[in-house]
Amino acid sequence: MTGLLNAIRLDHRIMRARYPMLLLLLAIGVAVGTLSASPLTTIVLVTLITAPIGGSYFAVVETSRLDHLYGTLPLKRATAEAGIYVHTALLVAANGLLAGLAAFGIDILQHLHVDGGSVAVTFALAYLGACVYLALLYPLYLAVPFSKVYILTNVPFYVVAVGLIYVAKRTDWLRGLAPIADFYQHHPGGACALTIAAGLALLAISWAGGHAAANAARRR
Amino acid sequence: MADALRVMGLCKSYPGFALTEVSFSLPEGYIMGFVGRNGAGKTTTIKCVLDMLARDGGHIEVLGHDAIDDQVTVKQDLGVVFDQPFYPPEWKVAQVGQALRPFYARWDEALFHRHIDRFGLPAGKRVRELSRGMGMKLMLAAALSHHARLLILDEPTSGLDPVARDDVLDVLADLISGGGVSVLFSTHITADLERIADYITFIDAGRVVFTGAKDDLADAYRMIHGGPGQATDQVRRRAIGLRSTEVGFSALVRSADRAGLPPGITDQAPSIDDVLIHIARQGDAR
Repeated sequence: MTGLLNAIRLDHRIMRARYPMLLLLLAIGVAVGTLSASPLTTIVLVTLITAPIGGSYFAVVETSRLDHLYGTLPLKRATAEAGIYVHTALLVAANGLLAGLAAFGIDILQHLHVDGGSVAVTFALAYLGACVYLALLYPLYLAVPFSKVYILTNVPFYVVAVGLIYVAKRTDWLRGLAPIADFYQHHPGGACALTIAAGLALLAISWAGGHAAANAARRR
Repeated sequence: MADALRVMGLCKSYPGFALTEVSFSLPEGYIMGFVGRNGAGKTTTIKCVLDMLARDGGHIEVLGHDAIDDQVTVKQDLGVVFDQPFYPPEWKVAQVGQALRPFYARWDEALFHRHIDRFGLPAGKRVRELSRGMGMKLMLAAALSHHARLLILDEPTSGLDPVARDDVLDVLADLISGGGVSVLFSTHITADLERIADYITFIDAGRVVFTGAKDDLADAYRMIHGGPGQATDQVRRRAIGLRSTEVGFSALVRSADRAGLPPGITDQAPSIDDVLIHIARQGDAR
């Protein structure tokens, strides 16, 4: 456990110079939420986009040759990798929660009457989305130099996101999700807990896969 | 005498390059020069010792522990310096110590500050603002501040100007005079080793060509020189990396082969550079 805490602390020190970007993202999210009178948009935007900013950790590792630093430290490889996941998951959670607080602020200032359940559910779903992003990409980033795969791996996410929005607007397939929406509406607390747990479970599976992928890369 | 580092039959292959059965051992309290030209396999060997690369075969022990299975224990006793600083460029010198401190049971913050003072490193300066020599000294300060018993230095003097190089070597010599620390010093600048190394391991094209005491290297080979007509077939068969010009030839031979050479050929003890250059040239000619 000490090793994991040390790894998280090290990742925090490595990423500290990038934290102002998170605050900038939060400011942009607040601006978008205020202008569109949609505080929930702030939560979605900030929570989802914090994930790729967290992922820029791998760019720092590559440009600063931090693989050499990790190679010298008395730290198990699997623990160091777990530290990367936990640190990013915490960043996403922290920025998402700040966005949630900002959403309440927008709500109060603009008299929008958004209920707390909606804020929580929106955060949980956005957090799940961020976890999916991290779970799919981090094993790749652990195994292949970030600069080689960054564009290639991010473009599909943007294409799929735009495609989903387009399809959702042109068709009524979202109605098929009504039972799920009902569940979230009637049991927001439980639904949020399940959603976040699902995201964390995905990250745990991804960590195991990432560890295997990184080991395979070291054997090449 | 116990070994600080023992590498046995290490194998690692990439497309176009292979470390083949690399074996050597460094006794505790001594400095070993790990010599070879660029691309000979020095950094690959070091990365295998640190488990940054997975070996294909072989066994590595550091201070009596398996370097891979017990690497968390082993790395408590290991200080490493690479050819470039491996810290985020925006970290300040003092922050390097703060970041590393939690990982080492014997981290000595006061000692770290003594080292950075001694090396003239301003605590508030950022890593990206350091000169190459200062970057080396920062890595050295970090490597020395947890009372490491084995230092692994991968090309620490390459790219340094002569003054900075001399400075780093002075620091190393001082350290070793204190006793108890062993050093594996990888370099292709052999002049550094003439000054401080006790043992030499010479690697070429992924294979260990020589490993042993530095004096044994000088005993194992002779540099021979002769006139234009003296490079006979008998000489050529025994010569390693023969170089012929209009005025004569020079080559390396094994000491055992010296006796049978024609009269008139002169010989002398080779420098580490002579051995490295001639063996590398022989390898290229094959």
